[in-house]
Amino acid sequence: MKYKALHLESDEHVILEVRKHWIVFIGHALTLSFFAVFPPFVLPYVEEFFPTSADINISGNLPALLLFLYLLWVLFLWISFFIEWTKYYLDVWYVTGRRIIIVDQKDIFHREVSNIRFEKVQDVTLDVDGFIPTLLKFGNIRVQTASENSQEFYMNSVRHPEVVRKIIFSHQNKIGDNKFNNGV
Amino acid sequence: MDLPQITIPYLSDMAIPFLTNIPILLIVFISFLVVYIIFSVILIYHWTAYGMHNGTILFAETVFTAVSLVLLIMAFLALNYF
Repeated sequence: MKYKALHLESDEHVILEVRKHWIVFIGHALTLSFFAVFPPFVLPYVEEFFPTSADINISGNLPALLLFLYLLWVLFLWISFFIEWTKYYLDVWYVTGRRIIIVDQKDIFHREVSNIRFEKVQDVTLDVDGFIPTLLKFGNIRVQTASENSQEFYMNSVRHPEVVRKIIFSHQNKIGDNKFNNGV
Repeated sequence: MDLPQITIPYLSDMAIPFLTNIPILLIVFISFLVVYIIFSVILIYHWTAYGMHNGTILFAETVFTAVSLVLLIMAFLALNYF
């Protein structure tokens, strides 16, 4: 079963997975790419800035040594990239027919999971601010609960926040209608 | 325009020849291998436990493993050519 880890009820299905826009992650990816291509570009100028480096006596194949160190550096960046990607990808809201399951992946070993039943949802606010968010259709979304100890759940830079709000409201209305029809 | 020239003291005499011998480089390689294995286990655990068998996760797992194995093999070969 695909969503076993969410412990869904027997007739409950995931309708939507809400994640941050890829633009949030592209900053990390570009920084790591810069550090990956930086050493080969700098290497030809080392001797110009550090003339004494020519005197360094290495008994062995220098290009092989440099390649070895460079490959380890790239491997380190590669692991860093996937750690960041995992944090980005596992930070997700699952919208089912009954509730929103909020998985907040704060760090690789820090994960918080919350549930909001649609009956408890008081308001869903979205905020698309700026040229790039409007162009790429992403924004911040805030869900407020109506219980005594009212809580707020927030995700920034969500893809298609209008769609998310629409789906949450339509399911909330469906539950409200069912309750009304059943005379609850 | 003349570029500023910086002198590195003692570097050629001591540190570099000591650090660039095969046993030291082999220790560096094995340390990296151990760190790689630890982080791979952490990542694969997260992907398996929380990834919901998603296609994107399976793709990421394949790319991560394939590329890092290529990098490790190339690093080992480079060490052999040193």
